[in-house]
Amino acid sequence: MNAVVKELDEFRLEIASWLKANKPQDPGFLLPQSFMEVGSEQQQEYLRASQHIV
Amino acid sequence: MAWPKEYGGQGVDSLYQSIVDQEMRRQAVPICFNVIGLGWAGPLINDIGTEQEKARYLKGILSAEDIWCQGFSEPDHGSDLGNARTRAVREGDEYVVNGTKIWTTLGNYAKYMILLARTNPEAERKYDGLSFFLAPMQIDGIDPRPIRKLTGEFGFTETFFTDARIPADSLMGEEGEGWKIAMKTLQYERGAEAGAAGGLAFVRIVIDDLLQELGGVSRKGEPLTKDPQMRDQLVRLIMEEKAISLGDRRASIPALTSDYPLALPLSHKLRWTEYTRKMRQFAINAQGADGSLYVGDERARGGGFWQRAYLNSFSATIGGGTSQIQANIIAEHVLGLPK
Repeated sequence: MNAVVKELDEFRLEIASWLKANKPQDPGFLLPQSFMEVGSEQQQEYLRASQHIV
Repeated sequence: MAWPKEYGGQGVDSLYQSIVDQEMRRQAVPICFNVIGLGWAGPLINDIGTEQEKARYLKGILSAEDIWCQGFSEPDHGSDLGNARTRAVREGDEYVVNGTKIWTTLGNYAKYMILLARTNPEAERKYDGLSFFLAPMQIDGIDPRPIRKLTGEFGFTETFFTDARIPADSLMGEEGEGWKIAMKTLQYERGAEAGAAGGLAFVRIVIDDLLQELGGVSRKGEPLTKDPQMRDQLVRLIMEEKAISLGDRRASIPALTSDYPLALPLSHKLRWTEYTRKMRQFAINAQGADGSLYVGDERARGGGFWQRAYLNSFSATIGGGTSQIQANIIAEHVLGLPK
């Protein structure tokens, strides 16, 4: 395995691990399936906070 | 991650962003809804913006402090951006904007709009009369009104400008360069140039999701997937998705696309959006009578997931240029057919 591939694999593991620990929790209400469906303050606030985290 | 460090990014190769995107999808992280900032306005500012514009806008896009929307389409002109009528008239250190934009995604939440407006109605070529602005939204005279969609949800607005005074330094480039900058922006939107979060702006619904859905459907006591006609249609969908996926991989290797370098990137939006619409329609048809149930009806399969996905899939076949416009672009710019 060359150094670049090794570095990318390690990066992938690091990201996967971080996301597992930090990804936003299910909010308990219906989330949009696309950015064109954000239709409530509740959704907007949740997604804004979610992007801020990641 | 590929954005410069001084503006909040990591300054690394875009390959790292691809890995992050893949892992976010794998772990079903919620969508990145600020895609007009992350995917279109941000890359545009990174590519052609001044240092002042980069310093002012990029960090807020990454942190989601600043949501962006797009003011291109107008009620009477649809995808025909060259005929945009919204006027911007210079008065001292400001432009006074009047007109209406429509299908403004996130218009009611946005802090900024990438705005295409006419600064010179007398220009010999209509395209030369257009200018491009990084316009603030939260000022007097700008009124975004939500539009209720077929699904009952909101998401778009119609945005009215009435003597709205935006700072003159929100002009990007020079007056009259609006068309050129707008076309560059559309390249990000249509996928010809990679944005930062385009692939994360949608819940990814693929053929494996459909197969999983159909696994629970039976007709006359038999699994639906054993029906020969259904299998035939399913195989066609599987082949189509596989072809799109392989085409995307091929597009990332310049040596394999040297004959028609833009063919695959330019056709991606058309192929993918039309395919997803067709695949979602198939999922509803496969449900039989249950396909008529919608979100909110406790009898709807999967809470009406596929019905909602199908009805919303039309937006993607229109936004950023309708499928017909995309076909014209491919005909003219890839195949060299006459106008």
